[in-house]
Amino acid sequence: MMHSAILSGHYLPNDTPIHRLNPRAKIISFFTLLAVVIITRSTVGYTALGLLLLSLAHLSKTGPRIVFSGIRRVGLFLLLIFLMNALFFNGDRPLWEYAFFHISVGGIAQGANVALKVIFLMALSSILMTTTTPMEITDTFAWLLSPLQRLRIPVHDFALMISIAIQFIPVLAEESETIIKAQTARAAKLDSPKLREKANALLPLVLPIFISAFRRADELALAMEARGFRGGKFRTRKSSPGFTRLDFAALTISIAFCAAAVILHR
Amino acid sequence: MSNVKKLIITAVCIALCVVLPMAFHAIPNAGSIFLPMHIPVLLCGLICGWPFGLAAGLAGPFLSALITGMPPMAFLPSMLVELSVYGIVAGILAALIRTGKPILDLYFSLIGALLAGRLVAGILNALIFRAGSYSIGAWVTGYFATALPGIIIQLILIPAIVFALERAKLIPRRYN
Amino acid sequence: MSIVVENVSYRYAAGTPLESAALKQISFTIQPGEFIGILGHTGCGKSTLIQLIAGVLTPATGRILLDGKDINQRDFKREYLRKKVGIVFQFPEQQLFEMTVERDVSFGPRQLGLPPSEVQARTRQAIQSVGLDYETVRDLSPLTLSGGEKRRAAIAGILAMEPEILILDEPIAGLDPVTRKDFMAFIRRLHQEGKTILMVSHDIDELSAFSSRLLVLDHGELILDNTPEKIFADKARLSELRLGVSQPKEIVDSLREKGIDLPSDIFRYEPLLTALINRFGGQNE
Repeated sequence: MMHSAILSGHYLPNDTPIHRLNPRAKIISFFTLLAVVIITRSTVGYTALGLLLLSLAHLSKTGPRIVFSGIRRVGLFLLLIFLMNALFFNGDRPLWEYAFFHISVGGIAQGANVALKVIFLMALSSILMTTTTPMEITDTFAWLLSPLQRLRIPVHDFALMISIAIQFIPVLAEESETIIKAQTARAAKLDSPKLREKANALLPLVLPIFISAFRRADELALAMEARGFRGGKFRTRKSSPGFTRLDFAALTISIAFCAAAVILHR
Repeated sequence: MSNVKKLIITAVCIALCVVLPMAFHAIPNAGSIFLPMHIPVLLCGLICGWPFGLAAGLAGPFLSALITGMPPMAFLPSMLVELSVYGIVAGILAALIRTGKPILDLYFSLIGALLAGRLVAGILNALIFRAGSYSIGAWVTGYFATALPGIIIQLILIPAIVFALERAKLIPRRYN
Repeated sequence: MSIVVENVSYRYAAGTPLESAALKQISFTIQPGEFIGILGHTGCGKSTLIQLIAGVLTPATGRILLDGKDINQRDFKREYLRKKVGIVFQFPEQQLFEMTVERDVSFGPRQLGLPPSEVQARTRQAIQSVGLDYETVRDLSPLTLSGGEKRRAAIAGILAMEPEILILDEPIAGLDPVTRKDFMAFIRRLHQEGKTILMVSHDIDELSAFSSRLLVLDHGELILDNTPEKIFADKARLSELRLGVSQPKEIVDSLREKGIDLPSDIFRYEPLLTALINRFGGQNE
């Protein structure tokens, strides 16, 4: 049951130009394109961006099924955003009005604008996430944030915490799944309509999950302390390989898109 | 508790932010009702203090978005703010409030954190994330009315988890 | 009461690019009173199979029939299944959560909606039967018990539901040698008292000690389904599956190679001992 939840954001090992990009170049390009999605308002802009995303999805072999499965999951929400804007936004060129409902061309455009932004954001991030391991992403973030070290913010401790967390995820996921199954087999019920009973019904599932997770934390902390770990100064990150022509190409394309978007929507 | 232990507990809470929504995904209505990502963050703040609560509030939703695609990137910013405020305020209040009764300390810290997080997220939504298309009405509906069952369930579950962890000697008791 | 597993298949991560087959077209029948051992390497699908039988997973194709009724039909009463079939997962001590041992053990019976007096009687009986002292442990927090005691308490929680079929997934994994022996004796006693046992392990010695029938799984397929005698007779087939035979069988075979004449169908310690005494003489009691 757990496997169905990982679809749109799961790393899929493969060997494509997008997978081969240096994670730093890839994530900088990602943020640049994110800015483009946020800036874009016009039909021309969305068309260009759409074409770019389609070719990225094709290049990275992410495939439309994965890109859209994430979007489908928030489909109802998208519809809601669209309707909220289309019905309540008091835009120009009204078509129909009743009490606080206003349907206007401006409102529909606004709704479509917001919904498109969400769709493009999701498509962009699922391309990043299917082609980059979570470890690469966190390492790159730690690298991007490393100037904060000067402000005495413990960026490295933070990065260590995240990499430990990533290693815990599969173990804890499996354990939680087993605990939920085991309690179901002991006839645990979750379908009570009463709130208090619902909370009580969650206890047999939630308590054991937390207890076994904290037990693992306890064991690991003991082991680390026994080996003299004190936090703070630790490992020097292995340096990232230099940028290749592919990386520069990716950066150039995304910066060009960003510049074009800024000029177009000035 | 040593800093190392706090660091590892925080890492585990971050992992649970990813795992719990997945685990409860399959149980009808469970995820939407009990807001599974809030619990590890609040717990981390209560147990390890505000800097760790903040770290869990930032890293939990971030990592979950990276790994499972939930929350979708579009909602990530407001969720990051909401959860980090939970972590910070739960940590600060747990350190400040000492009524002598552990259960009361927990309730006050939790309620304070839940209110503060929702207030800040609401203000930021109005000013930045959804500027112009956001109203008090939407805030009350989104953060209180629909979330009320979740809040009540959290107020029942979190103290129960804290006491169970104390009984299992995995965290120190609040009062000796 | 019998369980029929009929052409059951299961797929992991169905509908995603990571989809893979976990079980392929499995069919067999569990008769009342059997002690069935399920053997196979990690990832062969043995845990999946027992979870399908316990109804915590749903097969992709095929049916599982309890007394002739498909347990995955919508009109099938899940509670009936919970009453008849109990499952002890690997490391069951992880599922303890209540304030006291008594509350934890009685969780299942309470969920089944049994009357309080019945719940109490079953709880006491279950705690005693796993070898814990009811009066001593009833008010203790299960989280403060020792490792072996925790596992006993967790198993008591399943026994208190009084299932007719008890499924055990690697029940003695992670226990010390003495406790392992106690546990095996305990499981054997449950079988002698009339429970049908279905036990999963990757340890052939553990399984061959008591099983009346062995199922061997490999890469999601049911390769062998027979008595241990018959299965151990074909040593070549077992080593093809990267599985050995039980230790007593190993000893008998090496002795036979050395020209010592012993019956070739021995695979448990007691018959081996008897055969050796008969062959070489000694103080036979």
